[in-house]
Amino acid sequence: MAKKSDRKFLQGFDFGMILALALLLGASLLILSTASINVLKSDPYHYVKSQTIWIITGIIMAVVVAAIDYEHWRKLNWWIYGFNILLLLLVFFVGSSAKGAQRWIPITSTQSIQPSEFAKILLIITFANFLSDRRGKLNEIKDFILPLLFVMPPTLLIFLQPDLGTALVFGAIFVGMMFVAGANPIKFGGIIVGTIATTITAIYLHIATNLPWPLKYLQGLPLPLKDYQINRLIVFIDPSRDTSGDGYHVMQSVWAIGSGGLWGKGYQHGTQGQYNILPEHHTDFIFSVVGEEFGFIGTSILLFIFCILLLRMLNVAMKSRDNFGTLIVAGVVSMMAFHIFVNVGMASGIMPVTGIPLPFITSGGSSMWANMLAVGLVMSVGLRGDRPMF
Amino acid sequence: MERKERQPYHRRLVGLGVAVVLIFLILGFNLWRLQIAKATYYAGLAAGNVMKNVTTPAVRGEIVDRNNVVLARSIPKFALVLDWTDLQKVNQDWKNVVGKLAEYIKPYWPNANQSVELITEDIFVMIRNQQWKSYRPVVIMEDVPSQLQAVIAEHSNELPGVSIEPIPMRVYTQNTTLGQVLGYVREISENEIEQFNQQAEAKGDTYRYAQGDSVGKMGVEKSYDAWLRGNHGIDSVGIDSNARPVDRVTLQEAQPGNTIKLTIDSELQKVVEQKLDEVVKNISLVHPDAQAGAAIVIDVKTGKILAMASRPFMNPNELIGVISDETAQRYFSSEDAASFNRALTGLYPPGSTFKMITAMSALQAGVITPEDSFYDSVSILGPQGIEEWGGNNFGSVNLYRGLAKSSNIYFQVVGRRVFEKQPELIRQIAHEFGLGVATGIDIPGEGTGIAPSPQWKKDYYKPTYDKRREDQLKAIDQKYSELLANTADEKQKQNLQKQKNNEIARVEADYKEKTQFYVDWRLFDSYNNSIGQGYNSYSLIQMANYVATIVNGGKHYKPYLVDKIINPVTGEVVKENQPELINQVSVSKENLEIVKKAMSGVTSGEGTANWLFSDVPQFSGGGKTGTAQIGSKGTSKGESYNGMFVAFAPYDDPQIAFAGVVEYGGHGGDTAGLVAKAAFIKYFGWK
Repeated sequence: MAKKSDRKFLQGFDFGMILALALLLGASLLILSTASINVLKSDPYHYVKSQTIWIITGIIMAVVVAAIDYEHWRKLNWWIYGFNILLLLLVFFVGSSAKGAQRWIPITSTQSIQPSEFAKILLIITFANFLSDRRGKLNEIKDFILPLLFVMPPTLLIFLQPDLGTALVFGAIFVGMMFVAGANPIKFGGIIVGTIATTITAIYLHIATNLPWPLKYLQGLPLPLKDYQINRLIVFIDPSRDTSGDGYHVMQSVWAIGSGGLWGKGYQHGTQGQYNILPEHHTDFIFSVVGEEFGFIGTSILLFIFCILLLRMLNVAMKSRDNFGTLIVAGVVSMMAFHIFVNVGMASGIMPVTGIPLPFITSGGSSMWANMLAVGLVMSVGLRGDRPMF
Repeated sequence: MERKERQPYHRRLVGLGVAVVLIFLILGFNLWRLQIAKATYYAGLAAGNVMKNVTTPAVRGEIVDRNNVVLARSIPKFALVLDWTDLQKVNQDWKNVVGKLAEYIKPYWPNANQSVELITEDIFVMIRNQQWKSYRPVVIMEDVPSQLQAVIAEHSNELPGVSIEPIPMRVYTQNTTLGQVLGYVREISENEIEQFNQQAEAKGDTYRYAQGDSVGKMGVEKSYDAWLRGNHGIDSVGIDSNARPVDRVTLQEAQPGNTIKLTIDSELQKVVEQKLDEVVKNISLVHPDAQAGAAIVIDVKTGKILAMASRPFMNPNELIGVISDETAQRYFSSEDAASFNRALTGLYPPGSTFKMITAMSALQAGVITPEDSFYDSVSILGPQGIEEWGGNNFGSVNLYRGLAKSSNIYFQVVGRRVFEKQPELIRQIAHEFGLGVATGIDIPGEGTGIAPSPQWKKDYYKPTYDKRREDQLKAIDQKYSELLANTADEKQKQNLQKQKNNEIARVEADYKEKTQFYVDWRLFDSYNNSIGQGYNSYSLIQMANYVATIVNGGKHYKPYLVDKIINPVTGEVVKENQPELINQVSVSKENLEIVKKAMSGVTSGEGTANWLFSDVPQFSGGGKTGTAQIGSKGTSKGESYNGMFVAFAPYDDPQIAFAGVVEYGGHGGDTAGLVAKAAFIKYFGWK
């Protein structure tokens, strides 16, 4: 690797991306200071304090990762892949469960980590390496089989935890990276659309009643999904079928966002969040608090900053010195875009409830660290790439 | 890397960029739809979610006496309140919450030995009892001690839906003083709603009563409820998911009720009550039946009531909240029920206190002059005449001496003359003085009474005997028409006809006899009614007002209890009751003076109550004793008498009039007279 002067090194530093990130981290603390104030009565700012710790440690992680040439990871590729599988297997043995899913590995008596968050980053690195020399070799349907087999083991393990949301994130990473890696758009796109259509049909058949002949023989089609996952999907299709569980959450979330109007009800003046009507308002549904208290102005600004962050990352991908770097960034962008789309979509009622966090904003250490590691990787690619194009 | 090789990557990255922008556009458009296009719709939904309107109770107005001494007021007490509908909403195990609550309140529960399980059961019963008005929180405990308030606050997280709320409670500061006049407050019953709404309407009030309102159940509390009540406020309360109020916005301030200022002098009232109590206690040693009595002091120039007492006394505080069976029995169902206002509702034969009416009627009819005198002998009355009390003979009697000695024979003679000359005059004069007509006093429940006359007797009893005769004749007719129809034999028919005629004749004879006795005015009626016996019965308030009307120059005022209604915030007088002249009596000023003078003879010289004021040299005025014959308790033996006494003072420019009764008290002067004396001494400040 050729040595660059310090000045040139910093030229690869994408200030736009860093500014967007800084704004998001600041927004995270601001939002949490209103969204989590009524969660722990004994310490209203507990979540702000812990989030501050995650941010600081996350920044250190990002800087360290950025400082390391991402090329090193290529050499460790199969070690990383193996470590990833091991980590996900570990959850089944020492994991603690929450809401019917084993997702957490306890670290101390009060702290635990969520390996699936880190598994996403590890998958991105290994899959980027896997795809980087397959340029022009993804034109036929049979060419899709190997990449699919590559991502299948970790995805299945996540799915079995069960964590449908994160499994779908893996799917999004797979699709995004395959697309950027040059998969034949018509054939690959066809398979993706076909898969989604098949899934929806299967779910429909699973929950449907009173179907006409001959479809009635397919009624109640068994699915490899847990009851609560199916319920969430049912509720998404028809929220009125459940007003106390997820359907109720989504309904209250939509009311919260809608009632915010243009300017919002003001900092700490929302009713849905502050009166605890809205559940999980400091984690999965934190976007509803933004909508309620800061209005359309607030949600637009937040989404705009996210959009800038992702576009700046894509800019980094453009000037990456190699395919590996480009694909890493593409994976990170796909992951974050999917998170934002599903989380915000869920809060505003256009996506089913899957419980995946809003990057950088949702309170939580694993998610923050994983996202900061991802940023570190993107910075590492950027610092070693060509001069900025824009 | 060569740029050429990477070119397709760039295209794909641009494609990914387009996808990213597209995602944000989709999200942004959806947010625009929610937050701009349908913002008002969702704002309404979210508001309905957390804000609910609750009424805040108005503080009921005070009742004060003429010197602003507080008799009734509302003070906030802290009540333990359970909003169980909200509790059920947030907590599936709401019954456990009630159990936990029972544990915390056990040390403060009124019944100390009750187990937690039983307290829990009691709370469930309270909730069940309130189910039909479930929107209202259930009051578990009134007047929560501060230690318990602290305990509840400390454990508020375990007790969703439980809160300590200040609620106004009615307190009668003087306890038994004026109890029956003040009345008491309890929750409105369903059949009262209409009645109270009419009261509000009459006042021009838009308020409509509803279940759960507290209203006056008797006395001033009842008749002035629309003024005392105030108006509920409305608070918009934000409720969190634990059903605890977290935010409160007052939409409408609660308006406190008006202050009611009575005409009553509570110091005078106390003296009257104390004396009445003492007198009844003393007399009950001789007459065990004597337990009850009443007294009234009235301002003769206005009709303002200064004191109104009724024994057994009522403490309205005992009728707030939970009432024990024993208390209920004492107040409502016992023979001497304490909630019964004897001065207002009780009807008593006036006895000799009626004799001024007879005197004035005789003077008006011109059948006597005051100086006309004759020898006091029962022989001049004939066989139907009534003897003097104790078989006395007062020698030569005229009007003055007749009234002073309370001569039955004198008043029978003059009464007979009046009834013969103008049969309806005594009733008419009695009515002019307010006897036997509703006074229109401003508290509910007054008795009307009867001032009899020949026409009254006929109207009152004739229909009964007419109907009886008619029924009997009809029965005979039916009976014989059947018998006659079944008989062919001519001779037998004639016999039956004869029998029928006999039976009819018997009925007619019976009717004639009964009519002569019970329908037609008899000489005995004239005698009996002239001395206040017979059909006469009046309320004590009528008696007091009648004396007032004699001594104030014949102005018959409407008696009243409420002087002013005052806005407690501004001090402004909202309403002031003015003395209301009902009529000027037809008795001439001279004749009124004659009777007034005669009454002064009762309390002086050789009068029946000459001893009463002998130790009070300041006294000038007059009175009249009455010892009205009634059946004794449980029997109808004519040995029991109500002691009745009426009086006024001073003689020149009279100020106040008094009427009092002690049931089974014997002589009026010895009993009610002592109460009058105490009242006068207090009122005029004599020592």
